[in-house]
Amino acid sequence: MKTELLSPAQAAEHIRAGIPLIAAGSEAALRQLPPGNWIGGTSHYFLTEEGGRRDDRNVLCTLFDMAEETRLRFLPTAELPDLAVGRFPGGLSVILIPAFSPAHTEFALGGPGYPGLFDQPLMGWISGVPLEDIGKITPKVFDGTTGEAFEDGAVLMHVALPADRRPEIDIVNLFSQDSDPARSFRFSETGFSARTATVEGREVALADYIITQGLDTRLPLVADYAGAMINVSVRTIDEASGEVHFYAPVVAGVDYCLARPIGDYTREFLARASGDGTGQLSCNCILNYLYGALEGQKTGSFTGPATFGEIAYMLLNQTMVKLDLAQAESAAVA
Amino acid sequence: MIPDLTNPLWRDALKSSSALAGASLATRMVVARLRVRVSNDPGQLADAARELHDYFVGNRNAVGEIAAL
Repeated sequence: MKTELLSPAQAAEHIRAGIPLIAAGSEAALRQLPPGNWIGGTSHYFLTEEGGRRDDRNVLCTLFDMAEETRLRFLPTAELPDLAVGRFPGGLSVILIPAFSPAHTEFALGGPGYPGLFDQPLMGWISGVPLEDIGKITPKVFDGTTGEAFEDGAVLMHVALPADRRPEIDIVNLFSQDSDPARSFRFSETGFSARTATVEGREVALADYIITQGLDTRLPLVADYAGAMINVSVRTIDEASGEVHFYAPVVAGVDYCLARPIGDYTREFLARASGDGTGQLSCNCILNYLYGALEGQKTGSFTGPATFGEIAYMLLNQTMVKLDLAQAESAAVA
Repeated sequence: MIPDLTNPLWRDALKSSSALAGASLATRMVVARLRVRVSNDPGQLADAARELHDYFVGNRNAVGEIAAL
């Protein structure tokens, strides 16, 4: 498995050679790819070995050259609960979903309850658009078998692996929880927005509270999932309605703490994303790209699209997700 | 070997709030999600314990992580 930034013509060569691949690029670039064994999603921002960059012409391709077999599916939103159907034993699946679509909402809210979701690695991302085009054009995902683009639903690639490979999915989260109880929130309902939250045992009007406390909404809310730090990022605060909107759902009953500020993002990233990212499939959040000012900054060997949401089994925010295909023996030891 | 569903470890894991050192991301997410369900509705404990047990039955690669519960 390797990830390369390629011209559409170069990517087309791999497709014609029959190599399964995941492609991230502009809609115009993806439309240039021939039919074949690939899925794609619109993305304009990338972390490359040369640094973070916007690129509307090329496509970032992850080649599954070790795949023994693949199965591509387009799933309408209503069929997302069946996403585990068709997986290969011991394999993995990659899923791409367009941002702001009904599928995005459905997966975020219902995904953790889908049958078998956690039984096999599911990695993927939410496709996006240029930031200046949000609300003007729609993010897309592509089913490479036909080249058809979709602005709702999901495309999936199920991958069968050689017996000596075991897929391992993990996250790199730069953020940790602030221990200040005045920055700890609990919500009464699960959803992409909230008007109220419980802070230190009392219900507060969330938008007012964030504003009057001067909380930095570039920092995510961080939940402790049995030791895994899971982020939810603030999207907007509607002062008029008092509604705070998030990029992923907050879950009722989970304790969220605002993240501690981090200093030099790039330095922190390099410290946490240790190891060799070459040969791994990864994606990082567009918010990390923006807030960390990663354009032009080198972030090591973990390359991939800067996405509108990351998927490691379930939807994540402000997180890097990485998928490695470890040798089965070393994976067993680890 | 996967302990029987009657083993108290399944319910104990869901009543705890401890981190699962050494567990995979998937296992942590499963346990955390079930803990929240039980916390929101303690009457769900038996069903949640069964779901946790079944996760390990269906995911043999994770069996070694039962010790982390």
